Amino acid sequence: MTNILEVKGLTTSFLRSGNWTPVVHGIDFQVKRGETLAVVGESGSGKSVTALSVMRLLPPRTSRVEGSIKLGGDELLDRSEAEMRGIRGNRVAMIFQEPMTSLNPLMPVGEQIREAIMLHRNVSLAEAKALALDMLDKVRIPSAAKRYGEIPHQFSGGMRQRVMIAMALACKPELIIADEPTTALDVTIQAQILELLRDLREEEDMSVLFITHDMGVVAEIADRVMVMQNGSLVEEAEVRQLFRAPAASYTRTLLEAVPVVGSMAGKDAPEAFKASTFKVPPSPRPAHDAPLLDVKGLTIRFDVRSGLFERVSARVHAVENVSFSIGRGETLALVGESGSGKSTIGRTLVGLANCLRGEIRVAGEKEGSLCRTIEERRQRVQMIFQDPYASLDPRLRIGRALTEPLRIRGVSERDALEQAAELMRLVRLSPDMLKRFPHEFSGGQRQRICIARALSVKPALLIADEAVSALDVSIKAQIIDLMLELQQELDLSYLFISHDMAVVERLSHRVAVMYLGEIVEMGSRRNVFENPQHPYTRRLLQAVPVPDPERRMRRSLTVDEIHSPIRTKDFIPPVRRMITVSPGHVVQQWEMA
Amino acid sequence: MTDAATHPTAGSTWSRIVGPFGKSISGTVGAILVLIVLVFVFIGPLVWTVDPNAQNLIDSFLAFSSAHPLGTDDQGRDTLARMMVGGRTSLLIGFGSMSLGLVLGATAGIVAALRGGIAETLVMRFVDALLALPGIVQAVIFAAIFGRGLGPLIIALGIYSLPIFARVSYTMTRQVIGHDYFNAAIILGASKTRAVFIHILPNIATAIMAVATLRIGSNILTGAALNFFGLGVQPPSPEWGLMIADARQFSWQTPELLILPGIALFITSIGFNLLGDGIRDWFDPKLRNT
Amino acid sequence: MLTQVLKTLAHSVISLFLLFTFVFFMIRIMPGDPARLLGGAGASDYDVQTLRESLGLDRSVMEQFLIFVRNVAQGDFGRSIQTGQPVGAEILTALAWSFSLVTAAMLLAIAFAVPAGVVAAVKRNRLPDISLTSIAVASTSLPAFWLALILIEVFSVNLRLLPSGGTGDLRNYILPTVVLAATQVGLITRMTRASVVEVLTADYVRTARAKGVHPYRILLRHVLVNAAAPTVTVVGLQTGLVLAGSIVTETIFNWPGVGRLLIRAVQARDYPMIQALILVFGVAMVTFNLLADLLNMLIDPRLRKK
Repeated sequence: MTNILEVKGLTTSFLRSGNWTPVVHGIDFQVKRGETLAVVGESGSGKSVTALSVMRLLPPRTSRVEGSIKLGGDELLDRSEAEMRGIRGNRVAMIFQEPMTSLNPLMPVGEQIREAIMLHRNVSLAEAKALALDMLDKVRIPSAAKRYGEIPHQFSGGMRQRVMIAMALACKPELIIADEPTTALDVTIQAQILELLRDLREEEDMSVLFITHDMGVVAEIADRVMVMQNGSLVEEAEVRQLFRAPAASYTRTLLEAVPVVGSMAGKDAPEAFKASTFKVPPSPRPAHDAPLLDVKGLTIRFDVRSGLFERVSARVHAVENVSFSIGRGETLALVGESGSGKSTIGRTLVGLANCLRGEIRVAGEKEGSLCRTIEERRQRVQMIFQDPYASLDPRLRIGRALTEPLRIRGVSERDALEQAAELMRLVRLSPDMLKRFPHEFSGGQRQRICIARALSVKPALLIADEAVSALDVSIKAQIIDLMLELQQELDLSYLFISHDMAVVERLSHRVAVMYLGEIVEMGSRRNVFENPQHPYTRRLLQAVPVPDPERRMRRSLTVDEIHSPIRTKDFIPPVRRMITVSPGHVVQQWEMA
Repeated sequence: MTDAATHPTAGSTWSRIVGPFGKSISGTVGAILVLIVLVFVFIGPLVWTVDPNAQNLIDSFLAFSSAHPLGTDDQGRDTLARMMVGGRTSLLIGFGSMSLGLVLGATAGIVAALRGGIAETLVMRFVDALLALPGIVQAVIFAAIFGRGLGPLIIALGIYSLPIFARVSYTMTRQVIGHDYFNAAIILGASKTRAVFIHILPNIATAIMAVATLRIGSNILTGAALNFFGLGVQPPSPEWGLMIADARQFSWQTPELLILPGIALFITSIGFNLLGDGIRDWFDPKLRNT
Repeated sequence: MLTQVLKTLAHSVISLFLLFTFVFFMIRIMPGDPARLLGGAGASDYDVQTLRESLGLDRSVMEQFLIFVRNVAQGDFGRSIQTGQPVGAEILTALAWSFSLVTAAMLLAIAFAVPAGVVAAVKRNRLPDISLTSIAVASTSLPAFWLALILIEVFSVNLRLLPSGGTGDLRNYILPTVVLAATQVGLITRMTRASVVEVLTADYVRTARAKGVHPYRILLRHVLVNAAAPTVTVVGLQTGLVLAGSIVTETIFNWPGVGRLLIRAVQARDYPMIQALILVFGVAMVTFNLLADLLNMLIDPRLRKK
């Protein structure tokens, strides 16, 4: 097989405060014809910079690319900018991560594809239009002819990514560079896009340089893999080889830190990644114990107002008649995709959003509250958020952030500082760091601090809203282990809100699957993962990329969209019936399609 | 994925104070200009102790000399001394009216953002209403309402500065409220009043400081224009705008009397404008383009 | 789209009403009695009292307000205390003069500022940017009244090239137009630069580069359209503001516009004139903002929905 892309000694440096700092250190790799090479690594590994170096899209004044990059035998580093323009989009094309911002918002999508065709092909306007339309068809956009003239605004994220792919393929390039093309998408949509890419690769005989952080995606799509760390090549291998017998220790740690859906089969208890250090008991409490949190018939709706008089024109049915409970020391996971209402539930429980109907009761409260967070609950239910960078006040030293909740409660400064030091030790950070500002910490450390801050008021229930989703795999595993340890030490209950099925499988006792504001299936983790009943649960589980190339499977090629929870104002939600599958495992009755 | 590069990281407190001067050339130039103006109008009169109001008709319209480095005006008053003391008045107008507008506007903006509901609607509609009139028209009307003189002028310019401070603090406060660290504070039991002092004020301070600095510059200009029209400070107190008005009738004879105070106004205004931009660049790179 | 426009209008009317009510009551706190000013130094107390009654100023402020609102609803803005003429006619003539001056000034400002902003953004942090941004800062820092005096000094007094004021022929437009435009150049340049810079760093511009689009085509087809909205908005806003706010320029150049009218009305405590002028200014602001909104809706289909 011939090499489409041959990179030798690629070194990319950036001009940072007067010095040339290399971020990619002399790496070599090749992409063969018809092959997909995955470049995988955590943030700061230099994988995206590598892609932009090949495209020569880095700013010329502040970046320097050295070595050799040969596309079909032509040295790209010797090309002038004008010659590169003839190559970009023509012989090598790129798909970017953010479908929502990567298309020109004011140009009809068809025109954006036509523009690429007319730049590189000597065709008439009409021919180019016809070709662009063919491309929209090829990426399976329903009624493409009708949608040719629509602007990106009228497309969903998944559909926009299809348009991006159509645009990249328009000139039949020798090489496609895809930079995290599915990272911003929901898991069921990601599965569709991956499937589409695989189909197109066969149809078009594409060679792909696929950049991703997700080992599951790698296992699904790659022929060969190169692992990068801190700008250097750690290991390069055929995909099965890499997953079966990783040579480099970094690859091994990376793979160990990846939760694999299905890997917990047959196990009752959650399991830490460093399983040797401690064990989690299967069920924390006998089921007949009074639950710590009991939620009944929770309904949350938001009005959509429009028109001259701001009348209610529609309603977001964010959460519809949801009931669940969490026992002491137990983790309940709420899983679902965007618009499922899972985060809204978390925010309502701590009083950040108001609900319409329902009862929330925390053990020990004299009576449950109707939809309001009563002050005494403030202390017992705490929350950690997704973005560790936005969750800490940038102007407050960590010491102050941790003592503030105690000072509010009248603890003296000295006592509060002592407790803060204790909290730091609890989350495995040094108390010496109390004097630092948030920006001096990494993402993982910040999330530890957020956990410490939440624990400062000794809550019984911790709501974790996508709390590990923004973190790199290895850090993610550490935070999950920390949460499991803390749960045992402090007898904490967790409401773990996440879209990540693999993480959920790892750390939860029970799972509730949400779709469009409703719980469609709920039960023990084993039951839900090993015996899923509801079609949506099945679809969700099937869509999760499995980080094991041996278990690679083809899915049917669909173009389903995730539905919106926005309904007309006179919409009356149907009355749902829950069927009990086995003790503690319930599923919503569904209509056969 | 978390990418450290997308989140601005600042250095230590020290480097945040000193280091940034290297990052914004215009800001540094502005700081130097403002410093020169401050030295000129506040330290200057201590060194050059000539009475700015001492008339001597024999000495009128003198050219530059060692006794009168910038010459004299129609009444034989020393131009250098009048420039120095006149600048004090201009700066007092700029700083005083800015402070008044800041205190009133920021309070209204923060309360509106935190309270929401009726308070928000009322404050923001009123702010919109005021913004529908050009500043100079407001200043003219307020100046007429409050009468002539330094105090009324500062009040008039203060009210006319109110809307911009209300807008900025409203928007910035909404931004802070949208952050999860604010949510966390509320969940952990902080009252809204406490949150204002611990989380909101420190986080909106730099944006407000930048606007305040820009505002000093523009208020000095508007104040000078009103003085020029006789709607503000009254003669014989020296003030740059008044000095320009006085010089108008003799401009054929002594154009420098017209040029000098204008240049002083121009430099002061440029200084504060550049410094305001610099504050924004130094402390909050994300705000640079707003 | 129609609801959008109607909603903006409704908001503006509320703001205008608030503004007007505020001004109406505020000007009555102004020190100085219009009747006494009109009567002159020699008028007896009795004369002044008669004058006050004929002007309706003896009634309570609330009554005056209700009467005024009723009259305005019938299209009657009252008579000027100074001249006794209906204020409407006088304002219309002045408005025409102001409008022609402002149009010329804004066109001149745009012709310089928009290209300057685009160039500064494209060449950001390099010499063209630094020099153009400096001009922008200088423009906002210039005392307009002083610039006007200096220009008169140079071009009218010394060089005798241009008239120093008044309205005669097109040459009379040159100096006031330049002064007004100079005060606007800074803001428009900065706004254009900021929005072009923002769009230049947008993901879709990178997409266009990855397609191999020529930089000039990227600028024309992808950047400028997307960056237009803030500049259009600010030009609309400024046109409204300058129309009412060219007091300084109009007075110095003796231009018979609404700004000069206002300064005279304030000095004479001519309540009906001030009230009517404020209303006209407010309406002008709303109109130009609305025009800017409509233009933006033409450019951006997303704004037409919802």
